[in-house]
Amino acid sequence: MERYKFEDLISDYIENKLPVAKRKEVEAFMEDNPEAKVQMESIRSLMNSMKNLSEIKTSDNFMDNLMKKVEFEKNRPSNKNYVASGSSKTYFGFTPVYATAMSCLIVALVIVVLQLMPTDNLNSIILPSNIAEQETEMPKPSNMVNPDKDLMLAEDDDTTNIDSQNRLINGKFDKNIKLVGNK
Amino acid sequence: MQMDKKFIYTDEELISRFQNGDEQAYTELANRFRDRLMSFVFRFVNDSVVAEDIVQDTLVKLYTHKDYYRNIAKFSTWIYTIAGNLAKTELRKNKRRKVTNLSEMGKDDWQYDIPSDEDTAKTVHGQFVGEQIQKAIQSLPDHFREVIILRDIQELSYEEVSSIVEVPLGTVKSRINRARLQLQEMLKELR
Repeated sequence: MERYKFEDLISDYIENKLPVAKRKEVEAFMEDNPEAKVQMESIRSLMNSMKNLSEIKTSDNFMDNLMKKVEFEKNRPSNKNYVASGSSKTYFGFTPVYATAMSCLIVALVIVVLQLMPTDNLNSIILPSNIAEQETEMPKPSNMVNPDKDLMLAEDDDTTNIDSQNRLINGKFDKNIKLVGNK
Repeated sequence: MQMDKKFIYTDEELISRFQNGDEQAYTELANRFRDRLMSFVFRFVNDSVVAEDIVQDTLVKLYTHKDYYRNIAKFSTWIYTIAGNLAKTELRKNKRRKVTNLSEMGKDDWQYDIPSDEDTAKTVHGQFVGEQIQKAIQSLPDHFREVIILRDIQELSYEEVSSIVEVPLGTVKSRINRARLQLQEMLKELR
């Protein structure tokens, strides 16, 4: 056994945590090296001395001072939630304050994005439903053409003058409309 | 709630009661741990006033953060971890302060007069040995100091020490062994 190996095993030897074979190795090393035995006994003695060190006690007014500090912490606004609540509530991992702040931020972000979005794109995105709404909500003009009479009108009139709304039924062009071109 | 049966409660039962609003349980816990923590922290920072402040801060944290304790570890491990972290923070703050290095001490520093009375001599010798051990512990690196105090002075198990300092068991054992070797080297003239 080498010296450094012996030193590695000193604590385990003193605390009886070595298997018998290793223990015998250590003892044999100490037999051959008296200074190793002295070192072992010195460490054993040191450990006993540390165990017997006098206990350090807190002062007599320790609890009074502690309770003052606790009262102070209790009354601190930032700690009231900690101290008062039986359990710390969280929403999706956020405390109520942070959850509120995060919600406000998300709402603000959505508003900003909607404001920044180009209106043309917006219309193109919602066009089909707009058209349907227009058909139901917009007052029908007095010269509204009856779809059943489209064929006759097409023969008599220039269909290019027909209001584009009149050609839309349910958001689609009426198949009955015939374009006859300019006269 | 009355604490007349306080001695039948374990630390874990007490913290559980405290978490459920029993303030008496907190007082009992504080009384149970105040001296143990004081001993640990004093050996760490070597200043009784600072040590008492740290112990108080530890127990205030116990009050304000009681819900952070989960019943998966021993309560003592949890409270020692808080105290150890506060002590280490304090040490970092005072890193520049002078620490007596035993290796730099002259022969005169080790000499003392032994009174003729045998009992008094033993007491004085015991105090002297205690002071020298304390000085030697102070000269250890922080990570050795913490584990040697917890193991050899507080007499906690290796597993508990490992949980408190949050390093693997093998590392703890190695650190403790090396800390003992260093202390023995520093104190060998004392024997």
